[in-house]
Amino acid sequence: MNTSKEVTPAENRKEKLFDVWFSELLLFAGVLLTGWSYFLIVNVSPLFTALTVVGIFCFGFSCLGYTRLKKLIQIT
Amino acid sequence: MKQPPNRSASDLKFSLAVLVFAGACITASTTIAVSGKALFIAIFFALLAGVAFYTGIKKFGGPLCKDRVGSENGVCPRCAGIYSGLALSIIGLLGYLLFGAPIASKFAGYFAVGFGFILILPSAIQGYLRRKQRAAINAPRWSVFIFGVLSGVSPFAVFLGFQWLLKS
Repeated sequence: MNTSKEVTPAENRKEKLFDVWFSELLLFAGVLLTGWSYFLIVNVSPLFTALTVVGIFCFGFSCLGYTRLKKLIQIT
Repeated sequence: MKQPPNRSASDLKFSLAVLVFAGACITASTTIAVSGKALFIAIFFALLAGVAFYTGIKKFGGPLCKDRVGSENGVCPRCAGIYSGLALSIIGLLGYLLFGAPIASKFAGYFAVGFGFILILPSAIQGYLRRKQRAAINAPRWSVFIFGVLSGVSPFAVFLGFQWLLKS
C-alpha cells in the first residue's frame, strides 16, 4: 500500500497493540452507554434514545477495529 | 495473509449514510413507542431501521470484516450476532415497559450489572485473540455469532441492574 508517510517499526507495533485493545474497549463502552441510555429512556425521557444510537455505533465501530476505522475516516 | 478487497469511497459513504438513517429510525421508533403515542408507527420505524441496518451492514460491516472472519460471502458473524442481540435487548426493554420487572434488592442490581459485563467477556477474549494472531482464525463461526448475541443482550442486563440499584 502506498502511504505518504513512512511508519517506523516502533510506531507500527504501538498501533497494532492499540488495535488489539481498541475494539474491546469500545465493546465495553457500548454496553455501558446502551444500558445507561435504556435507564434514562425509562426514567427520564424517551429522547435519550439518541444515546442508545451512540452506544450502538460503539458496537459497530468495535466490530470494525481501529485500523479499518482510520482507513474509513481517511476515505470519507 | 489475504488482503481485504478494495471498496470505493462512494460505497463507504453510502453505507455510513444508511447506518445513520437506521440510527434515526431507531430513535424515532423508541421515542414513539415509549411515549405510547402510536404503536403501529413505532413498529413501522423499527422495521425501517431493521432494513436499513441490514443494507448498511451488508455493504459496510460485512465486506470490511471479510479478511478477519475469513468468509467470502455474507455478514461477519460477530456483527450479525451483536445486532441480533441488540434487537433482542430492545424487545426486552419494550417488554419491561409493558409488563414491568420483579422488585429486587440492591444486591441483585450489583449482580445484574456485573453479569452484563461478564456477558461481553467471551466475545472480547475472542476478539483479542483474533487480533493478536491475525493470520489464524480458530473459532467456529457459530460460536462467534453466539458470543456476539450475548454481547448484544448485555445492555439489557446492565439496564435491569441500574434499575434495581437506583430505583429500589
